[in-house]
Amino acid sequence: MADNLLDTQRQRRAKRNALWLGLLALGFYAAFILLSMSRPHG
Amino acid sequence: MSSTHISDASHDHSHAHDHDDGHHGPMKGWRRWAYATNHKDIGTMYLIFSLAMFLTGGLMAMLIRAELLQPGVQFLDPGKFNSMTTMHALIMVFGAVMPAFTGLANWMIPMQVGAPDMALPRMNNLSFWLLPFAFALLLLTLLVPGGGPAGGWTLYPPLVLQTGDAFPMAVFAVHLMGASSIMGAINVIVTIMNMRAPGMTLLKMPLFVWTWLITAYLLIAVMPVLAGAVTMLLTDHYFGTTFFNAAGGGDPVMFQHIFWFFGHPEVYIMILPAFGVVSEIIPTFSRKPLFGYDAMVYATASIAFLSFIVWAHHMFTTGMPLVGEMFFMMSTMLIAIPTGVKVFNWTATMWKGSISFEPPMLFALSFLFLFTIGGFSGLMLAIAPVDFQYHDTYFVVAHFHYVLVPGAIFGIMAAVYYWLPKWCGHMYNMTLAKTHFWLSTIFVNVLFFPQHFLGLAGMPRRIPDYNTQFADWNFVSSIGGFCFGASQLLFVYLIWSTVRGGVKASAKVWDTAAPHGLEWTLPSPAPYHSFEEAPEIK
Repeated sequence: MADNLLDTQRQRRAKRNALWLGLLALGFYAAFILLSMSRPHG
Repeated sequence: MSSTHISDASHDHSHAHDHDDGHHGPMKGWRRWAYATNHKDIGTMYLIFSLAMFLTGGLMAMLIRAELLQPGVQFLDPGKFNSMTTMHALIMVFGAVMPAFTGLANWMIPMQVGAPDMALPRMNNLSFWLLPFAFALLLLTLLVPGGGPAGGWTLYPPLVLQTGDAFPMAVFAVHLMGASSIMGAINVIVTIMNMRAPGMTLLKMPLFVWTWLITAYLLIAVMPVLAGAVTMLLTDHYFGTTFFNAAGGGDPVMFQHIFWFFGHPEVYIMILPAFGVVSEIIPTFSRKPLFGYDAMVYATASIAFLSFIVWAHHMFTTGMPLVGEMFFMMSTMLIAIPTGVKVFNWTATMWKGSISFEPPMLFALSFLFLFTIGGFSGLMLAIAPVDFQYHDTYFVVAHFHYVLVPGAIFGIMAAVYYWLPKWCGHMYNMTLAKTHFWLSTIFVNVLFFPQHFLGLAGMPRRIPDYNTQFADWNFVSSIGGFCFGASQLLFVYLIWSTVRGGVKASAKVWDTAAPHGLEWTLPSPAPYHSFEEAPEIK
């Protein structure tokens, strides 16, 4: 049913979006630690 | 007219009920809450949790104000005093304000976009249930050797590295809060992007949904940065790294940059949803549509963007190059433009409106006036040369408390008074609610306004003792604090008594005003599953 908000296609898309957003968050976490490591010392 | 409307809505819902085999009520007993996947149950748990944390953090604030009632160390030695200010801040920011808005998001976003529930209900359960463990851990730090964290909520090294056994507990607690917030934010984004009713385009979404969407992106961008910062503190403390230790080639000022890259957007994370709430309430009680809807959306997005390029205004006195000071001063002042657009549009919405002053509107108006005071003192602090005098004084304390208490917290209270009858199906006692409003508004000013004077006269933050020249205004501020704290008990009583019973609320709740949005098409109290059949938006 096209207008059923619980349809599986929508659920799958939501889960895929959530996964990407989670990876983005992990990316920010790693990026800030790596950037802090690579700052020129002196 | 409205009663016909209500019965239609109830009829539609019961019709959907008859044909849906998947429909079920809540589980019984503790399982309902422990295994909750329903957005309303999780929203309720978030709101109750945040109220508990508001009272806990408030109790700490009372202790701080009792210590500062008169000069001299009364009953909190400097270490314990600093522990109280640190814990008060962490609890209020991460335990009270943020979960309250997540609770409101859980309750309202599915109802406002025409969805049956949040997109990812089980992740929703996990994001809530991390919080009680995180805060239990944080509060337990008060009992371990060396006491709780006392380096300020900003956790600056090297000071914070002097924390005793509480240090790893606090770091882990911050990680748990961060994970909870990120999961909550992901859920909000995917719900809004995937679960909207047919016909609800982005620019037809209610402002509360819009502000939360932008807030959720901010959360995903900056909570990992805080997590990274505290992870590096942990490795500096226990694993011999020197990220923030000059002796090993690191730089403690770098921590401040990383922290405030998180910390400034965090300020907007706490205020943007309140902007959304006020944008819902003012049109309702002005009986006019919101003035400049599109401009409000773009202003919110501009504020969010600018929040990423202003962080070093918290660090003017660390000795950055002049060009840096100029850049951060100018970019900070730019924020006044979209914020001004918002204040203008709220005012223009009321212009020639038929205004009435129900409790949500009173709190929204108080927000408008008092948040603007906080905004203006923020502009003063943005002026780099002037900030050298204000930095780390009570002026800063006055500024951010104006933004956060009559700003964020009044926004939350306005939302509770606006939507509570929709949630529980009962109308609250108006006289008592108005009494709570007046007591809160009067005493929040008695509490925080004198702190501007103290700061300008040079009283430093985070010090339990002070020169006798500051005695009078500290006394006034403390009395204001005790009265403000006591008035919140009225709020607790009001919520408790309204949930238990009272005059039945209609579906529209504010029948004599002009509420707008899908949530008012549902009966009060809202059904367990909001929209099983998607409403059609024209």
